[in-house]
Order: sequence, then C-alpha cells, then structure tokens
Amino acid sequence: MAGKPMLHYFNGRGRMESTRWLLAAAGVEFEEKFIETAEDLDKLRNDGSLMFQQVPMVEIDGLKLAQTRAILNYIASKYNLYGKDIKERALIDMYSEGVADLGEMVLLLSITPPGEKEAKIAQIKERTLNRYFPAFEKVLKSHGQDYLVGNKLSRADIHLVELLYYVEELDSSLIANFPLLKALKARVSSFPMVKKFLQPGSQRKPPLDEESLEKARKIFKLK
Amino acid sequence: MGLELYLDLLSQPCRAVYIFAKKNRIPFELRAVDLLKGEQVSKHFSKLNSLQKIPTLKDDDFVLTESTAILIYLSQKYHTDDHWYPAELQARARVHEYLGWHADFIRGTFGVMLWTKVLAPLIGTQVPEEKVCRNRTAIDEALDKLNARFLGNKPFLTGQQVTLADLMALEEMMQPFALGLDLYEGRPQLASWHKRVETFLGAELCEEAHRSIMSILEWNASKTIPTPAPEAHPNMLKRLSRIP
Repeated sequence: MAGKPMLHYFNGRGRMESTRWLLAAAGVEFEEKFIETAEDLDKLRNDGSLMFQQVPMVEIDGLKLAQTRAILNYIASKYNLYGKDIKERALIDMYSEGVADLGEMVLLLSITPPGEKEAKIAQIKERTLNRYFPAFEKVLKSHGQDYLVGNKLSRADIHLVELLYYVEELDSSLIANFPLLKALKARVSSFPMVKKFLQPGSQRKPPLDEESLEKARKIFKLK
Repeated sequence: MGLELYLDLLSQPCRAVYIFAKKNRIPFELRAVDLLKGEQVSKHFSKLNSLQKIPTLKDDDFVLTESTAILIYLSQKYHTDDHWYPAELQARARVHEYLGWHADFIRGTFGVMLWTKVLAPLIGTQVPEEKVCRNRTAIDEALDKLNARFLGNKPFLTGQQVTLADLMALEEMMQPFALGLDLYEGRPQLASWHKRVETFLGAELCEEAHRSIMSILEWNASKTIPTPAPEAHPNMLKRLSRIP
C-alpha cells in the first residue's frame, strides 16, 4: 500500500477543502504540500504532475488525481461513502451537486469585489433559505432516517454538513427552522474523526484572511 | 412576589402561555421546570402543584394549573386585546368550541413523536411501531379536520383574528414539525395559517419560544440530553403506556 494521500494546494480552503473534509470523515490521515508561490505551482506543472496544469491535485494509491470531482468520487468509492447501487449513487450525486452549487457561491465570495459582496451575500442567504435548506430538509423528512441516502452515512451527508458550517459562518440564524438539518450537523459532528477535524490545530482551514487571499492571488495570478 | 410562571419551553402548552405573556407584555417571573430532568415530579414542585404538571401559574398566593385556564385568567386580569378571547358571545363560544375539540384530538396526539424519537429511547425503551403508525394516522385525521372544519377559508381558526385557539394550535403543530414531520404537505391552507399566526406573533418571539423544541433533535443527535432522573421514570413509563 502506498503511504498517506498527499494533497497539493495552497494553504487555504478553496477547492481542496471538501476533499479534506471527506478524508477526515472517512478517518483517513493525509499529508499536505502547500503551494506558497507562483514558482511552486510552476514547478508542479513542469514536473508533469498536473494533467490540466491545475490544482487541486491529490497523490493517492499511485495516482496523481486532478479535478475535484474525480478526487472526491475516488475517495467516496474507496471508503464506501458512495451508496450501495447506482440508484443510491444517483441520489448522492444529485444531493452533492446541489451542495456544490451553493458551495460555489460561498467559495466565490472571497474573490468578489467589496462593492458587490453585500448583494452576493443576500443572494446566498435567499437561496439557502428558499431553495437549498428546504430541499435537503424535505429529503430527511421524507424517510425520517438519520442520513440522506440509504440510512447510511455517505459523502452527501459530509458535503452537506461542511456547507452547513459555512452557512453558519455567514449567518447562524439561517438554519433555525430546519430541525433535521441541525440534527444531521450535530450527528456528523459528533463522529470522533470529525470532532477531531473540527478542533483547532487540525488540517481544517479557516476562512481566507487578507494576507492569504493576497498570497493566493499571486500564486494563481488572479486580478 | 407578583406573577410567576412555571414553564419548560419543550412543552406545547407552556409555550402558548409564554408567548401569550410575552406578546402582551405581561410582567412575570419565569420559573424554569426542567421536564427532561423530571423536575415536575420533585417534592419541591409537587408542593406547588400536586398534579405535577406544567404550565403552572402562581399569582401571589393564587395557584392555577391547566394552560387554557391560565391563558383565560391572564387575558382577563391584564385586559389583553379583545381578539384573543372575544367578549362577544358567539365569538367566545367558537374559541371554547375549538379548545374542547383540541383537548380530545390534538392534545396527546401531537406530542407523541417527541416520545417516540427522543424520550422513550432516553430511558431505554421504545414505542412499538404499531403505535407509531396509529399516531401518524391520528395526526393526519386531526389535521384534515383542523383544515376543513375549523380553518376553512378563514384567516384564523375561529374567525378573522387571532384567538387563544390559534396560539394553542400553533404550539401543538410545532411539536411534530420540530421532530421532522412534514405536517403541511398537501395542506397549503394550513401552511399559510401557520405563517400568518407566526407573523402576527412576531418572528423574534417565535424564534425565542421555539428554540428548545427546534433544537431537540440536534441535542439528541449529539447525545447531549442527560438521562432523566430515576424519579421521573415511572411517570414517563405511565405516559408511554397511554399512547394508543
């Protein structure tokens, strides 16, 4: 067996955080090699390690996997977090993509110009309250089980709980009228590996501060 | 001394009394009685109310139990707005008509899910599947009657304005709602009514009063609810056996 998975990204949430969450919830220890400068990124490209010259990239089981979805799919399959048949998988995919849509809006907030930020936040809150939270609460209500799919923990639950934490950071009152979402968040958060991941000093990354944002801009040559 | 209200906001009638007092700015001392700890069966509380039930009201030396009686007492003593408990004969009769039906078909029925999902497991037992199903049917039938016979096309249960009936009903609805039941699926009129009542009461007051019950599943999932004291078990088991 190869060693621990090695995550290549900058030291921030970005598009790698969902992978960190999934590995943590699956109880898999992983290592990280942080890209600190544009030169670090160039080196990875020149080494031929990045299929599409982009990160995230995860070295796992002899593979150099790029593309976030591919990485998450592999980890979910490997650790039995992807349902028991193709129908369950379809539901898991549907729920995960829904989470990703709202998650993308949150992700892009950090690079939204200050003048447009307020409007974007209002839009996120509106979508959360009127579309995404009711949709997931309805799923949980419909079968009354502890997890979204197949009465068993899957990647969908982990992705959703991760998102619930981001929404909480934005506005902790949004979840107030969604008792089943609150329960799911509490349930997944109480798993030993997740509990550890949630504690300070873990590999979970904080929101991007000004300094880290500047660093990321330089690495990825963003405006 | 003044007015004291003995309440636990996990309880539907307690919430109705709490919301009524707060909405009408009635000054009172909140005396928390922790149901999960079994404080209502404690010697201390039993001295106040030998029925071992909350809500209980203590107004100087006057002790009163039963939420309906408490609500009516407060509305009269503090001269709350007429719409709560209208003076007009027939309007008032409608409120009592609802509360009578409520006592038979809503009370006891809408609280069962808290027992099945949280309280019974807490003391190491469970409600048989047969009873769970029967309860769901009873809830469905009650909701249909609530919708058709009481609400109909009116904005509120007994007429054009909010009364004690709406408050008591709302708080009963919150119980299964907080336990994850989709009460209003296919019942848009009831859903609108629910929103209407909450809007009237005010979002902030509702959020405050509903906070504990809305968090009960969360507490349950994170295993932070302490096991009820042994003295509370016999009462709890008795209550469980009364579930049809």
